[in-house]
Amino acid sequence: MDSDKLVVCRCEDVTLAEVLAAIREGARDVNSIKRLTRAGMGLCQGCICESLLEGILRAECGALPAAKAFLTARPPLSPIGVIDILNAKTS
Amino acid sequence: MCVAYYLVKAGLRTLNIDQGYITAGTSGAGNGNIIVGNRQPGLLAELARRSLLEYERMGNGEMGDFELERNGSYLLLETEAQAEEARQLIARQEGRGLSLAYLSAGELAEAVPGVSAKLAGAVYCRDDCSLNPLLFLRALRRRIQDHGGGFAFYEKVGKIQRTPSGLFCVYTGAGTYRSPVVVDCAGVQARPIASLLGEQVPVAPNKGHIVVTEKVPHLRIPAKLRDWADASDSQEGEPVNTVIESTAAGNLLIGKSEAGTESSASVSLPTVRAILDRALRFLPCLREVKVIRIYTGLRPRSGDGLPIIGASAITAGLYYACGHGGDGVSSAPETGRLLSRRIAEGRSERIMREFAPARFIKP
Ligand SMILES: Cc1cc2nc3c(=O)[nH]c(=O)nc-3n(C[C@H](O)[C@H](O)[C@H](O)COP(=O)(O)OP(=O)(O)OC[C@H]3O[C@@H](n4cnc5c(N)ncnc54)[C@H](O)[C@@H]3O)c2cc1C
Ligand code: FES
Repeated sequence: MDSDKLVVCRCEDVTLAEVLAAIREGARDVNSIKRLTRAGMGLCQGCICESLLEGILRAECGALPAAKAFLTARPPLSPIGVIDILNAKTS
Repeated sequence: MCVAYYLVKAGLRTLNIDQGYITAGTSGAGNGNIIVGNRQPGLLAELARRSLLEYERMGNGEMGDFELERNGSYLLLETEAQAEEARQLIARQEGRGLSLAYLSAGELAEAVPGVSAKLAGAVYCRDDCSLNPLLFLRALRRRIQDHGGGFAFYEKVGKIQRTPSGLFCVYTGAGTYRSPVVVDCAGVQARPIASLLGEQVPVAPNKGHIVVTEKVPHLRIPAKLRDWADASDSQEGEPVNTVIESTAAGNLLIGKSEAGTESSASVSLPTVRAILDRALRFLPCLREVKVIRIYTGLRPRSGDGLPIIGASAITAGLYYACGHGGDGVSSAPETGRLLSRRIAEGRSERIMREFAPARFIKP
């Protein structure tokens, strides 16, 4: 299948071709690919695409240390309303 | 990156060494606002004004598109006292080339749908711009390479030594590089890099929180909204004030906090609450919006809040371009231009005195 039709990140509509271009340009860690392509920045925050990004990077460049293989975890775990954050009880 | 860009343009050979890729630092994580219009016109505003001219020159010519947009910004006024202060500032600025305009509450409501009806008005700063930091970093990298400049990515500088002939030897584990000149542009890491050469440069991390919302095309705001007030202590959590902007993709970015010298990237819930609580005072419709990500970034703040640009007063061949705090995007090109003139031609423009490393590091 065409790499520019194969979508890697569904939330942000990022194709395999874009991810490969970021790697070809020099990115060698998943966070850099995210910042360059927006893959992983969508509503699901990489829940779906993170392991794909890691797999593509491994396939292109070989073994990866853990520091380069995962996205930095950012809260919240799933989308939450502004008002719910303000009303949440501090535990 | 800007320092290397102006150096290669002046005909020098450069090598950018970075422990990550171009986006590894604060520049790859922050917003891309070029703030020219400010409450206190001064040195930072002057750096921003000059940088904007450089950005425009680059954007018009060789660099290709990096989404430089002259979209302005609104400084929001909450009280009549602020409005009075604002009118006086505008009067003082008259004829100084800064284009600021006063908007009444009614005019503001018309310009920015959804703003709170309780606001006293706003100052519109027409010259403020934004750019896409990623596209800009990529464009810089390409131009530096076209001019013959080199890059060593994913190499961490661990040791710097001087040879008897006066060259620096920079060791990264993967390579050893020799050069008569070293520029410390290591952002929040500027201090450990300088200490490799025995100098103590006062740059410390100042943490900022940014809240990212889901895509809300119906709430797209025409220009950045900024708080007239300085960041002040919230009831709980860190000092906050408001900045709200729309991204090209349609998300809203809501900021921002200013923490002392906190170097962990962790998110503080009280601070996030304070940010959102304050932002709602300006844009009540945010209540209905969902948050998808909260992230923090570390601003490289210098001891006195002004950047450190120039030659070391102790170590010949060592230069600094660091400590830009929350204004690194606004002042990057002029920083690079000034420092490259100093290195390539030995010329210091007058304004550089104010940024001299010698104010902190004395022989
Ligand atoms: C949330 C947030 C929003 C912001 N918004 C704005 C804005 O709208 N407008 C504005 O003007 N400014 C803004 N800023 C500030 C701006 O982002 C910074 O001032 C600027 O990015 C600093 O750039 P720098 O090149 O000095 O540092 P960095 O971009 O951090 O670059 C330093 C580089 O040095 C590398 N490095 C460090 N140590 C080593 C080592 N030992 N070996 C090899 N490489 C090393 C790092 O990997 C990094 O790439 C914001 C900051 C934050 C946190
Ligand atoms: S699939 Fe990539 S962020 Fe959701």
